[in-house]
Amino acid sequence: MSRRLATGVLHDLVRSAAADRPETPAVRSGQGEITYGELDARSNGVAHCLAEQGVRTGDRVGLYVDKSIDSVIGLTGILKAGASYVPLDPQGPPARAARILRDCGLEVLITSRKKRGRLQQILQEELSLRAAVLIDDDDDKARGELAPLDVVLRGEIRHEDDPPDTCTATDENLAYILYTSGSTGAPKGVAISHRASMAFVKWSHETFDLTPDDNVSSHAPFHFDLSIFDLHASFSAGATVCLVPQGMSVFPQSLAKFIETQKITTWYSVPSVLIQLLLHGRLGERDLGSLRQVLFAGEVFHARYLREVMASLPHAKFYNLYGPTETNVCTYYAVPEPPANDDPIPIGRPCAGDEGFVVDEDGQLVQPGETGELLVAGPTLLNGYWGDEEKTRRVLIEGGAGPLEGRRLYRTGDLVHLRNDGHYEFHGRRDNMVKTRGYRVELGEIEAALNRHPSVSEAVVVAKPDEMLGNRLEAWLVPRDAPSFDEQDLKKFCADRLPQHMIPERFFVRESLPRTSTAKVDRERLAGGQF
Amino acid sequence: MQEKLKQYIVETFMYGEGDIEPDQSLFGGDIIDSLGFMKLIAFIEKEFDVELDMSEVSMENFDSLNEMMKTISKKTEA
Repeated sequence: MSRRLATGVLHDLVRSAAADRPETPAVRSGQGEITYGELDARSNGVAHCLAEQGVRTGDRVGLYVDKSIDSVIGLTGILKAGASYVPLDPQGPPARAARILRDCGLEVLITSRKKRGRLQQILQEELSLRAAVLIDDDDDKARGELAPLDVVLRGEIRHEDDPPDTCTATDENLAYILYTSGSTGAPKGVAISHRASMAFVKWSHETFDLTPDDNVSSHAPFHFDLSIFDLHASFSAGATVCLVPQGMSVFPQSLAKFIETQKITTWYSVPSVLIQLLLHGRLGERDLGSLRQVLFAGEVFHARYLREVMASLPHAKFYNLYGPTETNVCTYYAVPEPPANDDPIPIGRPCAGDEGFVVDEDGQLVQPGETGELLVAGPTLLNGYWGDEEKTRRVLIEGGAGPLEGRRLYRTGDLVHLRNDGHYEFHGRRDNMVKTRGYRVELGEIEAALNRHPSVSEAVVVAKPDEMLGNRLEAWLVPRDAPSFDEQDLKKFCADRLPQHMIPERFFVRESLPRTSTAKVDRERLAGGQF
Repeated sequence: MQEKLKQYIVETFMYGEGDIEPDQSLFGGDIIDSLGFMKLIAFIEKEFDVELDMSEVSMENFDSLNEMMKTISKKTEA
């Protein structure tokens, strides 16, 4: 039997930063800041509350809080209770949150005053939820509102020197479950162990040379995998996480000011945010000298925009990070200089101990330079999809005879080729998953939602490529009997079931949809709008 | 004018349900997102016949109905 070195657990990163530098700011937001010492003590207190509610090592606890210092305390407290955190989109529709609560069998949830109304809506559904910790709320009325839940109020959360001794989590335990769009209509939970997360966190801490002097942006929401770097790589280095205030990211000028005043040294976001900063952020009027590196991921960064962004931030290094949520990050590319032409930016070489293989439709390795599906092996991979062995079996495969033998491989579904210089280049998807503003969207999930509308007989959603946003979504509908639809009504119907980035921008109604020779809906014709 | 803007926001971003207060935070309060922001700018430019650059608006001068109206009228007066 091979021996494996223990990698440690995520929450020890906060403990050890607190032991080394208790006075260093751990998290800063529009409302103030918290030091590592305070984050450690307060998250211990949350962990004790959870333990008193019966949470044990290996359990799962939901996090339903707007991004804030309190949400970081809650998330760290969940880990210190030995549990894995399940971040729910705080802006998403309550119906989708309820679905995830049910899928994950969540019994305990950390939430906040602002979410009480939505939580009441969620509680109308049949769920296994039995307790809620209101991390910022001392209003006794909450107990009545949220009955029959056991409610823990802020005043009951103490500062503690140590986490509860019920926490016996090791690197084998799950650290978090991130829900992404699922093709059959149900979101799927990507379950990541401490070991897998730590492999990425340690690698990124070293590669991007983070230190306690760094101010790292936190732009992505916590249910989005970019947040793993923002939070845990920063904690690993004892750096300061700077939370971008809610709503600010739509105002490029405010974001530019944020980078300047917070003295951000390391920025990480999807490319569309950087493009908005470039086009409307008035970067030239700001002193962004502190910004030493810009990391981007989540979607293709077109060279002509990247060139201009790099020119406007000449002191910063730029890195393209690639990896589906299922792999954390598995390849990266240091952009050596502003791209001279409009060729695609490579996704780079495997990193964090991972290996890449390109295979054809039969799972056979292709020749270098040929395009095929990227398979990834290595320490950063997911354990599986929560509660769905079948979906897990479809993407996590055992390599057959030959060079892949004995390897546990993740099928990314992404088409790539290996270039002569050893970097992978991305070509697109094998299936109907698309990216819009960095969010992963399964068109099937939107179609499944629209198909539940009583007047819809058939729904097809297509993605129209857009250089800035990745894709724009359009829905094509065949009505059941009523010949006309109210677009407002359709959007409202979607908004009750899907997050905002998944609501189609336009709806078209037709008596029938074009078919290919194999009787499938001709998505290409619909996407081309030639129908 | 303010009524027209409010009507558009309620119809487009709240699907005709509910109401907004003049000082309510629309972006901070997760009513309008980044794609909605672009739609809103296009609507304002067309409806009020102003040119509104995205680099002129910020969290401070555009997050509520009142602030939006102040920013728009400054432009129309100029």
